[in-house]
Amino acid sequence: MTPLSEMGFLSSFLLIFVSAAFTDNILMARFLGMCSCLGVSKKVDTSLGLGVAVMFVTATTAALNYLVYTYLLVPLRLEYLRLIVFIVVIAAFTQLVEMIIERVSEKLYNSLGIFLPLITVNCAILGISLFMLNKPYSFLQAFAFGLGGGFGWFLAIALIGGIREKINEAALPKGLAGPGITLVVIGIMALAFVGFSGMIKI
Amino acid sequence: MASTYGKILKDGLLVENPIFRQVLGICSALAVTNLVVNTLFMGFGVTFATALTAFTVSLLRNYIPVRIRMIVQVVIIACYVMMIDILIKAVAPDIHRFIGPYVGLIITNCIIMGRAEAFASQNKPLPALVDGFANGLGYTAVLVAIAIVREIMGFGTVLGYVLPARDLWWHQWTIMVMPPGAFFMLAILTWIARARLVKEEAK
Amino acid sequence: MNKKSPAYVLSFMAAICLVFGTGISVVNYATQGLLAKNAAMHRNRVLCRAFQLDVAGTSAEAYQQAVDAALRTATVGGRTVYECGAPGREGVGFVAGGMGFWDRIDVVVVLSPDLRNVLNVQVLDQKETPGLGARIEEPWFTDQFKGLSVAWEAPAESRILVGANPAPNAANEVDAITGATQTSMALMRFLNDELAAFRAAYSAAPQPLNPEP
Repeated sequence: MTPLSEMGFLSSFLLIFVSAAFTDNILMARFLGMCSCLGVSKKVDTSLGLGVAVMFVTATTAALNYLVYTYLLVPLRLEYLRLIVFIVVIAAFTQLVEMIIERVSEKLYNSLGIFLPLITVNCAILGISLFMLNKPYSFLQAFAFGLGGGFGWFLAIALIGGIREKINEAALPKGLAGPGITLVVIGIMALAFVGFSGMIKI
Repeated sequence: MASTYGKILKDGLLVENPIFRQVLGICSALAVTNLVVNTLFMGFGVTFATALTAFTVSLLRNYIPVRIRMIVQVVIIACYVMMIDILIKAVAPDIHRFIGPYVGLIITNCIIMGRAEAFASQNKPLPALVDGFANGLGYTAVLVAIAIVREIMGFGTVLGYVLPARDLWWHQWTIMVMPPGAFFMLAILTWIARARLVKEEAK
Repeated sequence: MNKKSPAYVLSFMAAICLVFGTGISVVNYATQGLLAKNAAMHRNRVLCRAFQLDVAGTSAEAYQQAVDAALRTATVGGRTVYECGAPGREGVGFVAGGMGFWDRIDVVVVLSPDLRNVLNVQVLDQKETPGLGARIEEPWFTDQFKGLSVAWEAPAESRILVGANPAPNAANEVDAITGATQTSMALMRFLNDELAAFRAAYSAAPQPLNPEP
């Protein structure tokens, strides 16, 4: 297989995006971002809302963290602080987005605003920023990785939301309804995603 | 006063168990519950971090601006975990090789954040410490329960000791070792726990 | 002071970051010497294990002495190569590394002097999932590499095989770890990459690497 560095710009961008979204799905293959996924996926439209917000934040913070790491932490030899710095960048960015949305569009704020605090604690976002460092990505490739990872999370939560909406109408035992049956659903979906694993190697 | 602490303990361990009732800390519950030993390490780390963070957040609760309280909480959590991580690495490098991979999982464990937000930010330091401790224990208890089943079914061992019947008739379930197995186990446990709670509430 | 004013919010955030950032930095710098010592000891210990050297005790000095006595080092193609000339333990070793499932994996690979066989593979550093990928450290897995032959005539990516392949139980194949396909595949990928790179550099270097003085 052609090494990533020798590939054309578009094909490497696409490859990283697809592999981050499907074969290495952050929710289904690495099981990050599970808590907010279980909490918010009761309905399709809320799932979509949170999914889009997470995708946006993941892609942007992956790019931001890449810049901060490469041009600030590495030259200053402060790599060991990267966890803290990444967390602060993500949290601060989320806060900033919240404030901007609040002032610009009240409608968007009302539909998206409630998810923003949830994003700060979403371990998938931090995970993407950290995994990105393990690979020799350029700035745009890091952005593709963030975008793909976010899209993978979006896809997974949207699917789960759709399934849950239907399941809620079924007559389930009281104890199983809610988180219980959702876990079963995600378990079966995870089995399917295991089939994707290893299909694309970067 | 003693009864208050008793209630906080009972809430954290059973009534308001972080995993069953609050649905928090699921990511790490899936990642590390295939072997009991790993689970104990993880549980210990989370209990410790939750208690310490809850205590600190509670101390600072009157000074933290509401708007950025989450950022502050995450920073406190991450810093504690990292400091402990570096210390262990320096003092006991062999133990660190075992628990190193858990560090990231502990920082992003939403139980720590959830308790800091729900309890510590409104209560005094000592009750907050007890609450963090109780929730950590409740989390550990559930994880160990899952891990025992997964280890027996997946590896045929308990705490690394091979069960006598394993090689005679037991075929190990690979699926139990892999993450989907954790989902199914967690679902069954949640079902049992919630069904009992529903019954109690009906009384 | 008004708790909602931007100045208060910003200065509070800055203060928190400063206090805790300083805390971490202090801990980090205070332990740097210890960390370096620990890393050196661990490296020596893994080298002793990989070359199956006799060690007198378990102290850092004992490992250092054993390594100094038995191994000669040389730099070949930018990487450190360890050579052992002790009778019955002849071999050349190097550190091979690459991306695992979660993070970087580093292993010490020891080959026979003619590079035809793998004598040993010992894990130096890994952060794979405990209970799954992390089992690459366990003896039942690493022991499989002892005496494994390297299929140099095969394409570069399949000279050593880990797990599923068209010819099970081939002389260059080890079993993968159940449930940790990703880690096993990653190990296979970087082992083959590093083997090829090592052979190219090693055979280009003037022999012997360490001429007798």
